[in-house]
Amino acid sequence: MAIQATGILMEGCVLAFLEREDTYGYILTQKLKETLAVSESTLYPVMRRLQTDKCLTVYDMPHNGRNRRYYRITKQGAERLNVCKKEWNDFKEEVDKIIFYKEGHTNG
Amino acid sequence: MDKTQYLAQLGQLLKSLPPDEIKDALDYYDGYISDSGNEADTIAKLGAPREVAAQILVNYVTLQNNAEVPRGKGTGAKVIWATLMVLASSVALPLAVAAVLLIISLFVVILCIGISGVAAIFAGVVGFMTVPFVMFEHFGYTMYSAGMGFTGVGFGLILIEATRVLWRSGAGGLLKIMSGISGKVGKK
Repeated sequence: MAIQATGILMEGCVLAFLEREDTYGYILTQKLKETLAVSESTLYPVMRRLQTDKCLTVYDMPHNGRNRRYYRITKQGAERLNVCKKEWNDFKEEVDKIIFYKEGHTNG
Repeated sequence: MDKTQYLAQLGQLLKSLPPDEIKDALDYYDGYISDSGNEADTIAKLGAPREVAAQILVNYVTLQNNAEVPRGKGTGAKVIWATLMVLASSVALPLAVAAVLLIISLFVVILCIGISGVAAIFAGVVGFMTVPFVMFEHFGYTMYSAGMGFTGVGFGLILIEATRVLWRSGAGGLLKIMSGISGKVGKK
């Protein structure tokens, strides 16, 4: 996909995956890579940001003699996800209006 | 480069960050490379430690600037400086190559002026040499040859003098700039 997901859209995608299940960095990156143009090193800063904003918490699970760091979405994270969904919907409608000459649903 | 080396380089690039930030990032990438199950392939996909470090540093600086809480003691400027250094290193190399090529081409141009000067003198001398052969037969042609000869030699001398001046000021100025730069780098 040629369109880059950055900032709030990227956060929304991460939070949406985490809303379904707790997971760890490698799997999350691979899931995002299936649909979005992200590099292997894109995710870490996003996770760090979400962690700083208390949108997710981390916990360790033993795996093959070491600890694997899992991420879990918080209540604040779920709220942020709702904001992301709304922002994305608005953005999608506005862009559709321009590139497909669509009439707006709210006020046209 | 194996995982240990990769993480060591990454840690080195992040050393201006608070220790817990460095540990968090290194733990993440340690786990990431292990979880992938293919160390070499994942390290290749991640790219140079410099690129990974740049993303972490930029993100850290951004978060610090957005934070409402006051910053920790004096980390700000140091981290910003380190971030700029990491970002600049990817730009600086191609720029340096371009600068060197530009300087080389400058000297080639100066050299070419000098060579054409020598060629003009040579042509002038050859022009003179024809004078004795035609002197008594064609007065007009003799004058023409002698004139061309003088012109060639004169033009050549001017070009050679120009080369000398350009070379001296070009090389001298360059040496001054170079020593200035290396002095600054050395001091750091």
